[in-house]
Amino acid sequence: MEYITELIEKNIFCGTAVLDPRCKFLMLIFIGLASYFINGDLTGILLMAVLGIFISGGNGMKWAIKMMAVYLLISFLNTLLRYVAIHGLSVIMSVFGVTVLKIIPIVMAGRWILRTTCMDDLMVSLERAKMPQSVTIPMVVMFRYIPTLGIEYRMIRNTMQIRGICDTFWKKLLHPLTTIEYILIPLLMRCLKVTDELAASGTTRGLERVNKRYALHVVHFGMKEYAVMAGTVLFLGGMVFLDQTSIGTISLWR
Amino acid sequence: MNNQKLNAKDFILTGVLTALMWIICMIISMVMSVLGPVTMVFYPPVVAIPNGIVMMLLLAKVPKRGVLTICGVIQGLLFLVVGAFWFIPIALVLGGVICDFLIMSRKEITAKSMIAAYAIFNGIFTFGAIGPIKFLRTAYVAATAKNGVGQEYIDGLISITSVPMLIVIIAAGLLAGWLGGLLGQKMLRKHFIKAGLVSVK
Amino acid sequence: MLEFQNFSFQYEEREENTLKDINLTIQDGEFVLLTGRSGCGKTTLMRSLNGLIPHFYPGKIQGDLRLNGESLLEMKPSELAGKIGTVFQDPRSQFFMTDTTRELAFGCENMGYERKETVKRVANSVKDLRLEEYLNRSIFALSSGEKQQIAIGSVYAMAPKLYIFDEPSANLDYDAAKRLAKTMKRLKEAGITVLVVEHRFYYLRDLIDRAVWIQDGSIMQVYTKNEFCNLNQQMRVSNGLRTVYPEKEINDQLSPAFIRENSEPQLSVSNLNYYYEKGKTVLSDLNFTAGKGDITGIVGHNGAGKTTLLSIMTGIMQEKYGEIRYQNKKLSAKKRRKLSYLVMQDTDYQLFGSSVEEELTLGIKELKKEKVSNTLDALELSEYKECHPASLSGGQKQRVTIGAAIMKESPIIYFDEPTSGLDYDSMIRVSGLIRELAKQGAIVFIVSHDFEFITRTCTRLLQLDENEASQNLSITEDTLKRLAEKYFN
Repeated sequence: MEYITELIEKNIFCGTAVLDPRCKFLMLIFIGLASYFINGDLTGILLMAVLGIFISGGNGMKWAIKMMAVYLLISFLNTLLRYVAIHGLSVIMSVFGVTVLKIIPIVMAGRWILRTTCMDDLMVSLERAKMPQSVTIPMVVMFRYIPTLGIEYRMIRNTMQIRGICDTFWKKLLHPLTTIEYILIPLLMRCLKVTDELAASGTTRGLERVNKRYALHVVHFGMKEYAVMAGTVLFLGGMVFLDQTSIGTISLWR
Repeated sequence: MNNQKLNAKDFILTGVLTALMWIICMIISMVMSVLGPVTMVFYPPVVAIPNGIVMMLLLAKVPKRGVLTICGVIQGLLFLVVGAFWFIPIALVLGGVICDFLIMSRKEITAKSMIAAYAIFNGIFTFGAIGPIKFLRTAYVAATAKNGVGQEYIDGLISITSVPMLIVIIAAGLLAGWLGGLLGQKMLRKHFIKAGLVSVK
Repeated sequence: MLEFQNFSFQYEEREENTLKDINLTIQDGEFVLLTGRSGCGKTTLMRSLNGLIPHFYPGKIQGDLRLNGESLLEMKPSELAGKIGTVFQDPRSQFFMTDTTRELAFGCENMGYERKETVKRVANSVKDLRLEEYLNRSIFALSSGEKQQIAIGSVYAMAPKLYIFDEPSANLDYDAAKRLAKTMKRLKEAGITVLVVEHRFYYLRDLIDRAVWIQDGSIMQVYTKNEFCNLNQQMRVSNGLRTVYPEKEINDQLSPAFIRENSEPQLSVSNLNYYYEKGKTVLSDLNFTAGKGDITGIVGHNGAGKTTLLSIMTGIMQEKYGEIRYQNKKLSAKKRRKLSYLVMQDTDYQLFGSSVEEELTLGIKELKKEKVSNTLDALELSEYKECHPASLSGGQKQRVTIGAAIMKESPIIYFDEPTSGLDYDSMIRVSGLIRELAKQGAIVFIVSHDFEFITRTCTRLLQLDENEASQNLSITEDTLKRLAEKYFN
């Protein structure tokens, strides 16, 4: 019996992954802001590196390394295409590449957060942050529904292929509206059905009750979180500042 | 029966349909970004067409005040997580609140008011989506400057992100929202109302 | 003690009472089966108990409903949550959390229990229902039966004294149904009152105390366990009820195989292999043949590869190794798609049109008007020609998808669990339609767990669990008896 209790209480996450969801979420917002204002090569890589180390401290090492590699690759390509002009590709890359580069730190942090946050911790921390049920319930439902959407879409497409409805590329191109109709309408019918069933299942288990909620883990925004927040703001602020100085113009790839 | 309190079923439906709308938005915006910087800027109007269908269903099933605010808040949070500039989430939330206030608070919600609500919502979303392009203009220009690509192209980029063009794009957003709403209502009548799943005045 | 006192209910959008003057008393600890044709009102009865009526389904209530003396009519579902627990039909759309442990704790968290209390309750649930192996796993990775165990566990943690099950076996295979019966037995032994709404109730035959038969919103008869298990067959069939002992009825239901026109099998599959990842083989060296008029039932436990096999045969997926030949020509995935038609378990993925007529004409290249009206007649759907498919009942929707199969004139037709959720009459109808399709020369494959249905429909058996020798057999009394032994013992 104790073994079972241990299993239930066990947290498969450790280190930085155990931070309060609110803290992680705020960090994400700050990272996003900083990423958009940082333009220099060196400062960008520094940002990624420190972020990567932070994530690695919490079940995220493989992902951090992957993202770092992607970042370096695109940074290199960006610079390459500046000096080697391939007519169409350079222009596309210049805009596309710049945008993607700015998004990578955010995606890295975002995906890590999604993976290391338990849904009930999320719900409780949102409630503690005074978010009403009108936000917490849709959020939780959404995270559990998005993976299902992919499966449902596949099933509908399979049927369409077998029945010969809008199955070829040409047909799709000529009748875009009908294609949208045939894909969306069954999907929406399913949405309605799933919603009914989810609502029934949730309500009969007390979803609409208004009382203080406790998660399986202890959810607490404490000293650790404040410290991390302070550190984040200082570091990111510092990065943005450095970026404005000459360090920001150092180009890494010769 | 309007201005009732939203219940758990409404929240769940909003969550599910908002998730669908957001995914459609992400897919279309990614496809259009790859096609080039010029098309990338036009993704909000294109998104409005399929999302119009989803939104009309949502508004028909939950014709209560607050539904657009929740929709905006959730889409905003999702955009934040994937790295969109904070402009978009703020625009979405504001758009939701404004439309709720103007339209969903009325006693009777008709097909026309639903279409209007979505048109305005999408217009504000378009503004939020392409506004940042102006901010990033300096970065884009700096990146292309050393390219040796013709000056016309840089001029082209600048003009795309210039103020008159932005107004055109926002107008397109409003128009697309309106068209998407019309398409959505047509689909509603053809399928959901006919099947007895929903009723719209 | 649960009492229905002259209880009647009328849905807001309907004109007649769905439930008419129900009087029923259920003692604590009883195990009661509610059954009847589709649309008889059993689901409405269930909804009245857990508060979904009138909270989600507004309407007019008459009479009273009391639990231990207290009237339930004034209570909202949130108040009833700790007293009455409901397990719904589709395990896929019941869970809120993304991992199993959180889902088990979901109900308790809603009730606002403190952390230690929730952990204790969840631990109890895991221990009593033997759910240890499912802890800390992603819900998306579980099978239907496993998801349902978690759903029951989640309700168990809230410790209600009355459980309602809504057609729980509709999406389960035989093993999962056996496991469900075991779990229900534990509930019964713990003194919990259990109400089960079911069409396919063979797995409950050792558990029920009483059986309530409902028709047109009224209780026709309340049977004791003995009476119900020994119902006169003719009476049972005319009232649309299935049998409690499917294995005993093999003789009456067995249908003759059609004589093949040419003795050459048209379709042959040799050495079919498929794996999702290296080391996890799903199909290995599968060999079988089928000819015109053959109706092959594909059986095997969940995970034996039935869905994978269907996906490969219909051309949705590519085989890893092996050959599929039709009329002696090897078929690529694309060609298989052209020749096949798949009727899926869930009709919602298969209806695209805004009217039944439109549905039947989608995707057809050369349209013949009389074919459409003939098909509609054969399906008994002519009066619904203009109706939207989504407004039809489950059985009718399925007939529409079968109609689309007839219109496409595919030589090979596949059915995936065609009888899940259908009542007896609909099952008979589908069986007749499929046999008609085979008679007209189609090659039919059916994936099914429904023993009664297999007995009266199929002519051959493809057993994915068995080794090569007994894989592909003709259906005879013997083969069915051996199959029954596997399923019912």
